[in-house]
Amino acid sequence: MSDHEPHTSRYDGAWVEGAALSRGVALTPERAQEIAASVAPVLDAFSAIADELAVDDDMYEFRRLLAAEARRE
Amino acid sequence: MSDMRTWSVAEVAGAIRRGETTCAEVTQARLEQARRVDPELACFIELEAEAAMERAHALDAQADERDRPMFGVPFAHKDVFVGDRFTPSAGSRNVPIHMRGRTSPMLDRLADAGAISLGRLNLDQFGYAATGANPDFGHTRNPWDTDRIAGGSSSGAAAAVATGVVPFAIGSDTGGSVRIPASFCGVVGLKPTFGRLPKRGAVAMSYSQDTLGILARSVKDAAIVLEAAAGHDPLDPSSFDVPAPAFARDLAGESGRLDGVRLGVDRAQLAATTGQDVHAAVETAIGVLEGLGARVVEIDLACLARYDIAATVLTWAEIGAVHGSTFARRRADYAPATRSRLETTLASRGADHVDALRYQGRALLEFRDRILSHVDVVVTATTGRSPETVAAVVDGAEEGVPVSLAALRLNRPFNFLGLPSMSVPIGFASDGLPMGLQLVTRPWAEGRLLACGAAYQTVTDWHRLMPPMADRGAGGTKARQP
Repeated sequence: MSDHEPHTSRYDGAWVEGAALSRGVALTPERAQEIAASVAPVLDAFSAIADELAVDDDMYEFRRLLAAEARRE
Repeated sequence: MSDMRTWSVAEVAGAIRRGETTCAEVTQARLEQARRVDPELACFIELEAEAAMERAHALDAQADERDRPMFGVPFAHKDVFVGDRFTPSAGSRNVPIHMRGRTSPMLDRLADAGAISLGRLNLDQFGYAATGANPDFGHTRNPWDTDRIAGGSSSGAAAAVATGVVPFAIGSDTGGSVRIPASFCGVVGLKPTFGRLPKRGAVAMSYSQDTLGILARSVKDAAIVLEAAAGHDPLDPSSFDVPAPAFARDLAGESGRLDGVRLGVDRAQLAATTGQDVHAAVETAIGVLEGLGARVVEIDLACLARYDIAATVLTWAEIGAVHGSTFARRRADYAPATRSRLETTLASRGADHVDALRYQGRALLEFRDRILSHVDVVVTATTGRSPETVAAVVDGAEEGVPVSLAALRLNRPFNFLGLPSMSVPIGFASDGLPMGLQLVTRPWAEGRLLACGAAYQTVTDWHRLMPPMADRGAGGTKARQP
């Protein structure tokens, strides 16, 4: 299980504004706040999922499994 | 001669092979149908009538080629493919699409099989919604009620197949974009296993989840198209070197019985995700499948909510990358609703992307071991309720986002898992709108889905019905009006 702190406070308007700016998009504080309100629940839930991953959960496992299933079929 | 608009893929190819009609006659009839319904439905971004007739005449001059499986069969494709004559719009007039490649093996394989493209079909901009609303090319209307959305993002494909413009169409599906409009418009929508169909030359939305798909009136037609198009593309890094079965031939050998097939059903999830009409229709459809010999096994699909969350983050990261620098430089050129959705993707981080990909393997392993080891086919509704009105989607404060999300939640988890999934029409709600049953199975086992869907269609007629507007003249202009 996770030993991380809850992430809820991380995804606020200032966080979204900064993330967007780092990718070359300037958002108004109001728009950034709107986005934060919609994405925070998703990102919080995703953080909880990601916290369950082990170091050896590899991003190529999906393709390996599909290839193994092909041999099975 | 019977109404050509209802002819299946096999019927068209067979009639041409036997000399009962010609490619030119068939193509002309379908083009006329396109001209009849398109002003009201906005199926097409570009109807390529001249090129289609030219190809039809060329095929008619090649009589010795008539044994090709789709010789002379008209089709159309979502406007996401590059071709030697065109660059895709991906549903946007103002944002340029830069594609390095100039060919699509998917379109090439269909051409090799003898199919004739009638043109490029409408979609939600960049495929990034599930409503079919498009401010640049017109909002695709549902042929069963033109005040309603067709669903998306392969909106034009579903509406064109439903109205007999083409016997099949090619779409793409990242979170339900083939199955959702198929359900809303009353046609079959097949999303094969991730990597089964070659997607090189198609505009990407989410590299790790994008799958091309087939919309057709019948499951048998979908099998013919899948057989013609499936196969490894060595130049497509997402393609798997997996032998493609003879789907259509194998289906022809099926008994139509489903004895021993285990249907996985989560009745609590079904009740929670559907309205009264869809719930009842899905239960009735399950009863039909049981009557064919299938056996229901209760399963727990609570895991789908977590896969949907991860799929959302993965999609944000990847479509955010697809549009990254273009969006930063030309944000004003994007339509307002699309711009709003893409702004949301900016909240994803690189590490989230990697974590979503890492979780994708874990999720598939979990779903395989906990669910697919115990059942042959998972059954859900494709869409839980009837489609919204176009006005509600276009004029709503959030411009279709809630509508898209509700439809995606039943579909997107199976894109994240890479699993083959298919929507089959199962009747009409009390408001007259079609409903769909979603069937899902193990990777590469599309044949099992096709057998199940085809057996269902041998004892039901929902897929044979044509919306009344398909017979009307080109009087309406709703879709093209601002």
